[in-house]
Amino acid sequence: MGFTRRDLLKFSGGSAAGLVFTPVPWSLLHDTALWSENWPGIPQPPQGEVRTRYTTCTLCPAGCGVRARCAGDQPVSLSGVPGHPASRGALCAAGLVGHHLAFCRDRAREPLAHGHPVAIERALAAVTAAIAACGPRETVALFDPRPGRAASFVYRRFLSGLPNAVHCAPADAQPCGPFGVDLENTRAILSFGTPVLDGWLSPGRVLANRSHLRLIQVEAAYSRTASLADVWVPVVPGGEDAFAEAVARALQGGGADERAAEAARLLLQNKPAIALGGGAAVAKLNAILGSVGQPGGFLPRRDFTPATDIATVPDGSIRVLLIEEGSGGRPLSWDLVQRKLVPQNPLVVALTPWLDGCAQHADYIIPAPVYLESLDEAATPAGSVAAGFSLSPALLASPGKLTPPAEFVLRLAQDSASYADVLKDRVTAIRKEGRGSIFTYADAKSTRVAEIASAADLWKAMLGGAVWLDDRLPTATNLRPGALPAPESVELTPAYPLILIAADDPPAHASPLMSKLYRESGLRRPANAAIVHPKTGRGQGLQDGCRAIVSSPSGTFTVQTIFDPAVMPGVIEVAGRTPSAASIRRA
Amino acid sequence: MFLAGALAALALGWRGFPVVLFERVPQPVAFSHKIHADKAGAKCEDCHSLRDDGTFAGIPALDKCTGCHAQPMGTSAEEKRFIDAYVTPNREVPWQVYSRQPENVYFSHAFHVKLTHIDCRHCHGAQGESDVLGPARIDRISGYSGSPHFQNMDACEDCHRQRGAASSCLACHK
Amino acid sequence: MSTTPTETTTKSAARPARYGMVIDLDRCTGCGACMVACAVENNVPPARPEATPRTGITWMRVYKISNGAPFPDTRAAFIPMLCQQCGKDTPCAAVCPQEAVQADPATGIVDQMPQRCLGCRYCMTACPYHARYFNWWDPQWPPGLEKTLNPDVAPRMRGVVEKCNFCHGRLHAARARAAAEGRRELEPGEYVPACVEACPARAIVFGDLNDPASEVARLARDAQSFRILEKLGTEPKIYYRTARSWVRQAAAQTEKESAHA
Repeated sequence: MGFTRRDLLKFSGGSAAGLVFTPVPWSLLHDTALWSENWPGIPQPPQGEVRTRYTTCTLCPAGCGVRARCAGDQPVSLSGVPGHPASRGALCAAGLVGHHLAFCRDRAREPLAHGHPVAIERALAAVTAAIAACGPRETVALFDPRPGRAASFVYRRFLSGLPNAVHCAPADAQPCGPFGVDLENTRAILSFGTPVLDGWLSPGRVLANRSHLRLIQVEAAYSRTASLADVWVPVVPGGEDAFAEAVARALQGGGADERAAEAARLLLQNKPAIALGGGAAVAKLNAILGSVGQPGGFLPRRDFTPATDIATVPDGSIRVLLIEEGSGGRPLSWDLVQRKLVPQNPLVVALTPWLDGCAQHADYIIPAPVYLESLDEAATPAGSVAAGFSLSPALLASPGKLTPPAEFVLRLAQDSASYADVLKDRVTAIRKEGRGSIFTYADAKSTRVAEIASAADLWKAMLGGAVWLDDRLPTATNLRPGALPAPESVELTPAYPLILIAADDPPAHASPLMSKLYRESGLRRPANAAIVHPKTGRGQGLQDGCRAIVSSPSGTFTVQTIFDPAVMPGVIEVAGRTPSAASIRRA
Repeated sequence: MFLAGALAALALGWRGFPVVLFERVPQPVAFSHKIHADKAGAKCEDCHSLRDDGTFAGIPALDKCTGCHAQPMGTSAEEKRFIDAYVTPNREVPWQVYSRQPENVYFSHAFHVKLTHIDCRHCHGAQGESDVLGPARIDRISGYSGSPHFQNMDACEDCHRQRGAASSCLACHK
Repeated sequence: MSTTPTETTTKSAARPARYGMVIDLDRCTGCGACMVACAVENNVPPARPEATPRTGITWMRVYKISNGAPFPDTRAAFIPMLCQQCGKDTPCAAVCPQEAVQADPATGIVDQMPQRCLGCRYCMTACPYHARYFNWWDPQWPPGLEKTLNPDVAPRMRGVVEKCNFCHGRLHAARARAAAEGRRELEPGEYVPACVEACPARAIVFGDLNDPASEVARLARDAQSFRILEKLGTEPKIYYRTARSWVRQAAAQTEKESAHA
């Protein structure tokens, strides 16, 4: 029989009908849907046995303990160490994503000379030659973001072998000198610009004590601390001293303006009280309040690395400058640095993980490991009333060609030791002195150093995650905390009638996750936002949300205006700016 | 003709389609559970164990094998090939997982083995008594396991319904 | 092969739990640690450049409100906002055409299944707290960062809605750990979501509201504790507490009215 077209149609119809009763169409639909859900674009989380490893955060001087949850050997999340004496088991937002920093953009990957890859020996030779060529009044300077470490000791040892050398550190690195703050017993804080609730000491410790603290925040900006403080006293930059004097007068029974009298009342009713900030007037306040060497105040501790504020170095005197930049924290201001360099042929070497910041202006960039990539250390936790030390063991594999800054300086000094050797020596010295105790993160136990069998055992314990804290010193009232310089006042002129100040600076490098969350929630203002009081803004012809140009003696930049009736009239708040006179006009 | 077409479709759909849809991927090493159970006296838990934190070790890593097989234990050519290809270069064996579940599925052996005392054979069949590891059936389109028990939620749902066990979505998904 | 094992267990838990939180607004300093910990735990991707505050994904989101007083008496408060785990007539569950949302009777947690979701976003409209977020784009991780994903949580593709589920991956892990020890019940403190663990101010208390001895139940009954938009009758399980009356009044307004800087 012939196979006609009709037969074909019947056959096809029958197949179609039969197919419906087979798994074929349903399975194909189902599987295609499943396939579409598993496109290669969706990343696969790492596989591996869940392990817990411990380290110490080195992003800021607080030195919080870190517990890392790892899949195999890869950290997937960080959290605090319960019971940690300095951090009380908490981490700040930046610490919680510290394990992302290694993957941020702008990483320096190999030694560079003006943007071209070089061998590190070239940089070493250049520095040695420049040091030898230093003139009689020219200095070699090293900027150390975290003085007090074993690495700082390496720097000082190297610099002491040179005729004219200075070890510099940020002005606020050790604001109270060899003193810690007995926050657990403090009842009132009069803070002159210190960001008490937003990055001072470790948040776990500060916030654990918040409920028994009355906080008076004296500063120009409506910072997060100012918005949460019990009282905000807005003063123009440079007005802090006058206010401190007024409070001192009020404390001693003299007359003063209403705000100073109110502050004095609060301090007298809530003792012990301390004053935080820079300037001689604040130091005088602390003397009147009797906060030095007393419970609830500033208690002395053994360690102190006397470093120089780079702002006090004479202008035009630095011939060779080595700048260490950390993984976190504020970068050094290049405007300030440039003034201090000799006009002819200065040599600047940046020992940094990042390509931006001071590295942009450096002659040589020596790439440093980022937090968690290599064995590091944390000096005494900020504000601790006892000297301390902890190791920050690596949790990530280190890419090649990175040099810890201390090792670069060791090689300059022709010392064949490695950074790990230096750290081992420090731990050996701690064991030899036999003071204090270590708190091990894994089991939250404290052990007296004297009870540890050997330096090797102590080293092993610290590598597993631990912090050493010295014994407390007996209090001595004849010591005085070091004084920070007071903030400079700003001269207004008709051309620049407004005051430009910084507000809640974001960290220079952050996990893209953290930046995204802050931006989407509006919790931190964008970097190019200028916040003004509506009266000030309208007086300058601006509208809420308009683009504007801010001009100051050091330059102009474009901003997005935001009106906020909470900020001080006459002030422009922009993140990351040094205080200066300025003007603003619509773009 | 219509009937012929229908029958042809039914036959192809039920018999031919699974053959085409599922790729049969052989295991990289011809491991024999029977030999290890008989000669080495190994029980399931010796290699497939529950850790203290409740996670399951699953298919053992190479170090479980090298514990004994650093040197040849027997005389088979397959064992020699295994040592040359994996033990010596310290390379993990890329085992095919019959029960591989997609990323969003959460299954806890701790719950099912330790708390509910379900026998391994209930879900994994007589795998532990087998002499050869069969090939894994992988769906070519979706990449999911083609093994009947693990292909979809049906077997899980049936048992959970019978026992009144957790039936919320996030109990088994992540 | 037997089909019924010797020991049958027909109850998955002795008594259903109702997990909830009490957030102390007087302790919250708006640091955002909870937001960051949540995003890390739940594999929330970094934003695309095109993302705006309305299209970004923030399972936990901290809002800032102010007391409205003029300079210099303006004071701020911060309100961490997350899925309120509505316990009665859950709006998102009621409207989902795919049954991708389920209020789990055993834990009280409102489950969102991204794998079932078809992306109609009806639930986002229904949620009175704007606590649901849509994946407008496929997740894109900067090179290297995809190694830091949490294996306990599945990444989502584009086109689906997601929201806080009280860190279900941690609940699984806690239950597995308890099961390995032979326990079916969880001890208090064994299971805490990432935000609770991360908060440096210890502002968030988490636990079983059904357990009268738990701290969260005690705080929830306290006079200073309130819930946001209680008048809607959805019985949310997140309580907030504050001693400041202006914060309480501001929180009683809808989010549209409160200051969102």
